[in-house]
Amino acid sequence: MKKQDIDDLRELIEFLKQHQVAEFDVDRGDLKIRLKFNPPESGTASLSDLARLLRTAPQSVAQAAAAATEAASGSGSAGAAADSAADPDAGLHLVKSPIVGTFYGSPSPGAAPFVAPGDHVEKGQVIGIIEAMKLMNEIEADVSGEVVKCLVSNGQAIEFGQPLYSIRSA
Amino acid sequence: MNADKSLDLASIRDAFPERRIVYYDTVDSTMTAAAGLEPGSVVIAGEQTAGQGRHGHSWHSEAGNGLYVSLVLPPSPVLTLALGLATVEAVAQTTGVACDLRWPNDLMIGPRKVAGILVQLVDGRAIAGIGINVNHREFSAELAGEATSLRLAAGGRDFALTELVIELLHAIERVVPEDQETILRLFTQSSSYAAGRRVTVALPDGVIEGTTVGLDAAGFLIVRKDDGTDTLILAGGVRAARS
Repeated sequence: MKKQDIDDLRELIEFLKQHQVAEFDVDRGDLKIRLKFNPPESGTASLSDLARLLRTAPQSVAQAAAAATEAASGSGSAGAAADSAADPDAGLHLVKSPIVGTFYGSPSPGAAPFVAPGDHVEKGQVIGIIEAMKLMNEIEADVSGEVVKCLVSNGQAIEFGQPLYSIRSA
Repeated sequence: MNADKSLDLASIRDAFPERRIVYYDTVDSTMTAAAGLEPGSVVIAGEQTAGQGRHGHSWHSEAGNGLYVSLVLPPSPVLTLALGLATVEAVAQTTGVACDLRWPNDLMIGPRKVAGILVQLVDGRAIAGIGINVNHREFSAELAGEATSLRLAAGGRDFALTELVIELLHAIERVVPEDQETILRLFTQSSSYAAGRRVTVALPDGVIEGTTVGLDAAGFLIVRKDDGTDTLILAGGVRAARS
């Protein structure tokens, strides 16, 4: 499995855990995934959140998830495997969008991005822009730390509260 | 008509004694100059050497002929639409020139843009930049197809910048505090782009073409493609489709 796929899987699992999703099933033709988390708490993720995640999740997430499920099938429940796979990224801080709009990762087209994975950012540093109706909203890091991943792509439509970056706070 | 191109700052300060009014003959950008000033502050420049447009676009700023103003405001929903309405109102009052609004807030005379507005949200404050082409006599070949000035639209009359600034600030004070529903209604009445207009929109994954069918409750533009599907336009990039 590629590192990117593992990262994508971790992100998916983090999302499911964060929203206390007890069970997660995907069935896309020859691809089937089932993840279970224990103990099962009341699921609080809204359907729209989940639908959005599925819509935006690259195919590789699902494939990676499938691979993880297969790998885990011989050694116990998928839930246990999911928990251990998520550990390295557990506790990552997510910078979320304060508004609905269009995401820009650089100050202007063609310019270098504000930040890249691995960069250290200080709290208050501008790391992106969300535009809504020509209102340019600078997104600041709300913690200091290392940028682990940009979770959205340049020009992408962003919903209120959508995670934009994950940061390992220092 | 008073054709004095210089700004009478004393008159502007008299009209708005509670506002801090800063003037530069030349500045890189009024947006940069306004950053960090207290809400209510107004920055005016005779010329900008690096006028800012939307996301990296530049704004052509000519000495003495344009009005370049940045204002520090508390943020509010649909602020950018309200600023467009206020600018249309101020231009009509002081020059008699009627402008259309291209969503979200470009002032248009026919197919050409005469004023542009950009807002940056920084540290919980909205910095609104308004650029109006007032007394330009001509534009470069590159810009002539898409830009015009109030002077060109009014058959060669020059307009006083001082009066326009004062009316602009008054109009902003009137329109911006209106509730969201009122601003959306006024916008729909004032803009030929709000509904029934054939447009193209540049989106990250390509250009779409369709017909505008109104604004949603948040003020975003709805474009209906010919296959009947609706796309909600969040940013800008709306252009009249070539018929």
